[in-house]
Amino acid sequence: MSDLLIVDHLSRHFTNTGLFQKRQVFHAVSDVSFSLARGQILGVVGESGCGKSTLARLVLRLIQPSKGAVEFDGLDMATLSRGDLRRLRQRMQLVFQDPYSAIDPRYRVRDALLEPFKVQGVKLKSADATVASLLEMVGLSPALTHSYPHQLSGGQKQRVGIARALALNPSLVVLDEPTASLDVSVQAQIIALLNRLRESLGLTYLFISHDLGLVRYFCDKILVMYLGRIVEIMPNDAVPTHPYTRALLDSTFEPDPRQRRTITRLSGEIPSGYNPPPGCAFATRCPRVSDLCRTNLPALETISDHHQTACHHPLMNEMKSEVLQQVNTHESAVP
Amino acid sequence: MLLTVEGLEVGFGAFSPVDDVAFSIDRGEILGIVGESGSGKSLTAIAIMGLLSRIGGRIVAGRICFDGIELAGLPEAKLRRLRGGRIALITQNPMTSLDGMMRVGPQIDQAARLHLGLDRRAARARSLELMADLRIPDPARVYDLYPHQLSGGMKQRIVIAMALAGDPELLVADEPTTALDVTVQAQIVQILVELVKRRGLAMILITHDMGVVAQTCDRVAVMYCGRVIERAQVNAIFEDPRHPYTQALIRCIPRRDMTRGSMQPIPGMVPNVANQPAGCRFNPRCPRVADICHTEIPGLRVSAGDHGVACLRADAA
Amino acid sequence: MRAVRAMPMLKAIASVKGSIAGLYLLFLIGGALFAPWLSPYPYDQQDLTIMNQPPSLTHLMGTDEFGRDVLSRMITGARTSLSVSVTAIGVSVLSGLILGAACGYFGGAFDRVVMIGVDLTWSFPEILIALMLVAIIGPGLQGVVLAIAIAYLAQFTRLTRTQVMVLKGETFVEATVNLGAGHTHILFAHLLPNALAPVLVAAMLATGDAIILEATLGFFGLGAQPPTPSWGAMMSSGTAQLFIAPWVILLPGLAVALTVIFLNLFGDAIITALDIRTKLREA
Repeated sequence: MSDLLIVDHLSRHFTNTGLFQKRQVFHAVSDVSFSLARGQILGVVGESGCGKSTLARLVLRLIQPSKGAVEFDGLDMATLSRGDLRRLRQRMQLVFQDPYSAIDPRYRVRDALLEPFKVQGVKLKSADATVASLLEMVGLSPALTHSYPHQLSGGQKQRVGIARALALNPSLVVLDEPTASLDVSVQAQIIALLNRLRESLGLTYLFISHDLGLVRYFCDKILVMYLGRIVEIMPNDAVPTHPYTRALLDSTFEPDPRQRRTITRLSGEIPSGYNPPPGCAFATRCPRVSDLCRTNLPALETISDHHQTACHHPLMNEMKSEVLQQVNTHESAVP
Repeated sequence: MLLTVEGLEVGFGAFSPVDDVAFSIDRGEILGIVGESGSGKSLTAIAIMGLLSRIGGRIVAGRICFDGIELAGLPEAKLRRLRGGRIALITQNPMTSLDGMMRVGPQIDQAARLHLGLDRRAARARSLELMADLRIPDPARVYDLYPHQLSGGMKQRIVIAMALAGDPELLVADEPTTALDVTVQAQIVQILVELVKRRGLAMILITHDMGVVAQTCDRVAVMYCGRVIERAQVNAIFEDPRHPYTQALIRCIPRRDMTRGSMQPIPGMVPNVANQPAGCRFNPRCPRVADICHTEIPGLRVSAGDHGVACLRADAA
Repeated sequence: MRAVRAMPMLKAIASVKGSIAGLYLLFLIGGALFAPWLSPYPYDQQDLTIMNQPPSLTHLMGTDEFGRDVLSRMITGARTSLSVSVTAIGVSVLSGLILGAACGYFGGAFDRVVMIGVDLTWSFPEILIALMLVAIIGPGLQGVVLAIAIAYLAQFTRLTRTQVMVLKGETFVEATVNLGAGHTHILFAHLLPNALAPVLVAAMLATGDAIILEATLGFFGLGAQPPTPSWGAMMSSGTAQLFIAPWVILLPGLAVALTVIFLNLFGDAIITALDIRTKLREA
């Protein structure tokens, strides 16, 4: 299994200068490293403002990193010429969160689906056949060929978005919260579709979401971000050791009224990315905080195989058994 | 019962996006109304608040009975006295329900001054008390801030405080946490549940999230295409769902014990208001569909344990 | 739900307003196009025996101080007024689109320099620009066309630039970049087509203003040179006979006013009817 994507110490900050303002630097993504093997699904989880969408765009080089490197299929993207990068784009695609604005309102479905070929200068034997097969691939009726985006439902638009992303046969697809603005039943359809496409086309996914429950269900590996940094990388079935991951997990509502939980209350506010604290960014809200956390930034340390956490006081054995127990009772409770 | 809704039909022009909806709720209870977009759940809330005329709708048939008062057809002046007072609404998006040009404190005061007749000082004291009650840190400082200076979770707490200021008996919460981050969402939900239990309020929680329902509600009404298709105690809904739509909806949610690919989506899509199928509105997507489903509209049949199902083939599986 | 109720009514008003205005404009353009055939008399035929006659069956709009038929001059004047303002606005829109799109899309120093230049033209009154140009080129229609084009350049450049800047941030543009599209494709396939609708509506409204401006310049004797009639020039020569033959000045004035009103109404109707993105939001 070779790595399709290697991200190495990637950082991006934005500088904000106004006429009468002090120069401010916003740290969107700081020192992020990970690798993604071919055929795998890596989930990136975090709340709004944690830098997950910026990370997606950095990986695709839609924005330039301030520091660090992205290696795609053995190619260092920083060394590519503009033309090479444009050609490479057909191998890495993006599916957007908001299907309502991801398609030009003036484009019919057919035009939207043919645009990738036009842009990349790919000659098609039959445009009609291509459109028909793309529609079929994502489970849309050919009757929609000449519809405008505003005539489609959210789920249909997202399917068009997926078809467009897959038109050029990419290897890597970055999914930026593809189901966040959809109903649950539509979300289930889209996730099932993405899973089927991954299996049949051998795709590799970088799946960005705020929903840890969904990520645990869909992804092989989970990367948790907080204020631009990775706080934990773990296999999807691992028990979280970082207090933030734990809080995220506790905040997901299990659809089981017998498993009502009281929530680990996170007090305190999320610090601003303009002025990140010197220590752990989660220190302001963490129930396990100590003086060390406020001054020293915890490094990402390996806990077990494929499991790394950035915490001075990770939830290890004592807590772990409790969580495991909960998971077990839960499993037995489900018929 | 504090609120009883019977045979409610909401009309927009020639369409009835809400049809034959019935449920009731008592003090100290949380009733979840679950459904996807187009299910009519928000319109039901708007109908209860008496705000339909503002968006061009009307109550075509049915009763909305609040503590002995018939709300359907009540003159606007009387409705206005109830709204924000005895019945309060918590909206989905705290960004739009707050006035950006006004400090948040006085926005909370409004309802108390309007409905309880308090003067400025008394209203302020009451607002500060409410803010502390909602675990807003340093209420006296936050009172004088503008909405843009607050985080999303804080803003939603202010919105809840605004709703509570008029001392309501019934809270209608329309997707109160959808616009928030997950950790904040969990806090807000917990605050709402505590509030209802402690103050003996009644709350109608409108949501699309079966997880939120499972964690908070006492009873649940599931809506599909403008109708209540199942209504029961929360445990019964999750352990013994009888309508095929409810069953399918529960299977759509990823749970911890699920492996990839085990989630079973519902085929097809929600039909348009203008294009409802004849008979049972779920028939094009139903795994249990029979001939009768295309001709007859199923009513809600209530069996033991107050478990109502609107399915002609409920006993078939 | 609101859209379901409100849309048909809006559409009806828009179409009533739009169709009346459209009909008038069609009538006007037809008149201008076929002026030589429609005019009952040659516009420059003088007959001093019938000076300053009020409207009658033989001269529906009366005659002027040289005994020329006012109706014929009005029809031919429409030709001058319309062609001058439409050409000027056309030139202005085209240059505005190119400049605005380039500024909005590429930004940076180029944008700043161009916008300073464009804003400079905005800080002078239109009349002043026209006077300066006429002083340079000499009186005649070319000067007027150029003056009007420059006077409106800032408006269209700014509008296009803002549109492009907003559209540049839209997700569908990012999606296209991600497909590997270059600047040309993004500009011509997405940004300009989406920016076009508001610019065209603004152009429609500006054409009304341009007719007034042309008339004003004509009134000052800067535009069409006699005997070529334009509505402005006709009003100018009519001032002398204001109390003897008021129709000579009033009728061209009325034509200017009506044309401007109907152009504005038509622009309004187009705003409501054509803007796909507003419709999308309402739906």
